[in-house]
Amino acid sequence: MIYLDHGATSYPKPDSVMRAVNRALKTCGNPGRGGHPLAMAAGETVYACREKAGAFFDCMPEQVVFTSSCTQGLNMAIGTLVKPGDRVVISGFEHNAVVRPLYALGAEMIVAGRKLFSWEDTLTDFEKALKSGVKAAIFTHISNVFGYILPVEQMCALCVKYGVPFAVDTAQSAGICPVSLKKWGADFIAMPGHKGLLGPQGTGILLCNRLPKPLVYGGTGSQSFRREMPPFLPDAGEAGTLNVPGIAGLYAGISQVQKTGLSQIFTREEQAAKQCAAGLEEMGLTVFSGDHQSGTVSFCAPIDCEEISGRLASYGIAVRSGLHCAPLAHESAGTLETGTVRISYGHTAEKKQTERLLCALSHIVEKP
Amino acid sequence: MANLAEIEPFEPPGHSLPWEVFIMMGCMITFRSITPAQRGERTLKNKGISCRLGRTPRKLEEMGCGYSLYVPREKIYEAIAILEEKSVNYRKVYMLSPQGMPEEIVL
Repeated sequence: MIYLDHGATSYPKPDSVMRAVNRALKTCGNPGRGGHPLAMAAGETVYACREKAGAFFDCMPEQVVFTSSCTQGLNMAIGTLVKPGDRVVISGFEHNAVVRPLYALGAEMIVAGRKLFSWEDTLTDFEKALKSGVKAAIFTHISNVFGYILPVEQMCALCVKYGVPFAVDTAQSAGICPVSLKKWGADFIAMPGHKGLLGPQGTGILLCNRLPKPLVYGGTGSQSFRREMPPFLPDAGEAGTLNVPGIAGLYAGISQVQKTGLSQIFTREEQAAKQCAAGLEEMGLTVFSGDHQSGTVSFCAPIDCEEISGRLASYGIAVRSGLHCAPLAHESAGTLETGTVRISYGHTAEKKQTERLLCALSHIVEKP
Repeated sequence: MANLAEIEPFEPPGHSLPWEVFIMMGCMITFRSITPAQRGERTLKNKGISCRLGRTPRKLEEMGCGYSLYVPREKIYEAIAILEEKSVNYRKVYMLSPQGMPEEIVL
């Protein structure tokens, strides 16, 4: 299998991740709920990951709230920052993990920056929206469809300048690009644990610069007499038993990322995507590529995108097609009707994968 | 009924009952939950102060459940100074009185 769907989840997981999950299943009880060895071992496992993630993303361990996904973290962040009817600025490339919670809250969404790969357009539109008076800003770091890397540091600085609370969706960037809670000054940063961070599915992190409004209420192992959730981090956002095996695997995944190094990971993926885009263009396909692009590239062909991904699967090549849960991004790029085929590289990116992909695609395009 | 002697000891050294540890160490710093207690443990150990993480005796945790760091009596003031310097939020500090009772130290 040539796996080019890292935008959905990383694969294969490193052996160290699998070993860590297995070890946790054998040795851990419920963290923060008791004093016996299994409970303490679980507590140590969770804290070790909290500490590692805090150091990696530039914050204190307590500011690391474990979630089941990036989506859960975004829901918590949005539920904290946005009230029904609020005007909220979002980028033109948001995933439904941002759009749907805002819609459910009845927020008025101001979409800023529709032009792919143009920092000037994104920043101009974004500042204009901030000036017009908004209650919050929610934006992605990298488009999951097109790999467009938004000028996130400048966008954060603008939010700070205009005093607008904000949350950043780093679903496609955590573990690939630098992410810093301290430097960005964000209220919240949400991320999955299973994509760039190489952990197991069902893991995620919400970095918190303020107390989140809980999504789930229940036991935390702390201040049990209170009827309300404990008003401090991380407990306020972590009701119920944590996914200890997942968190153990996430620790191992982050360790692997640190061992390889962010710049090496990014360069490898970016180069693979550039090589891929060049090959696709040579085939005469409509390719979405430009400056500020990560290891993700989308394209359209005269054949239905689902047909292409299905036929690629029969060649043992895994890609994703359709709308990628981001109709807003397709609306911005003009691909809402057709969808796209998305090639997303990951930690295993190598030239050979692209060569085989292009070879298979040339057969598919020539013989529809 | 099982014979107590037949029950294989499971707890490794370092995991004892809270009161036993308190009596052994002499001082206890309580925390509102496990996470700040864990950060406190790391912080103190990095500064060369030995301590043990464990549950807070039920009678000393008025909010319900909590975790504490058990610290040697002779190191307690140094430990508190380090925690405050590193902004680790603790709740209360107890010292074992000569009568064997916990006494809160007001710092």
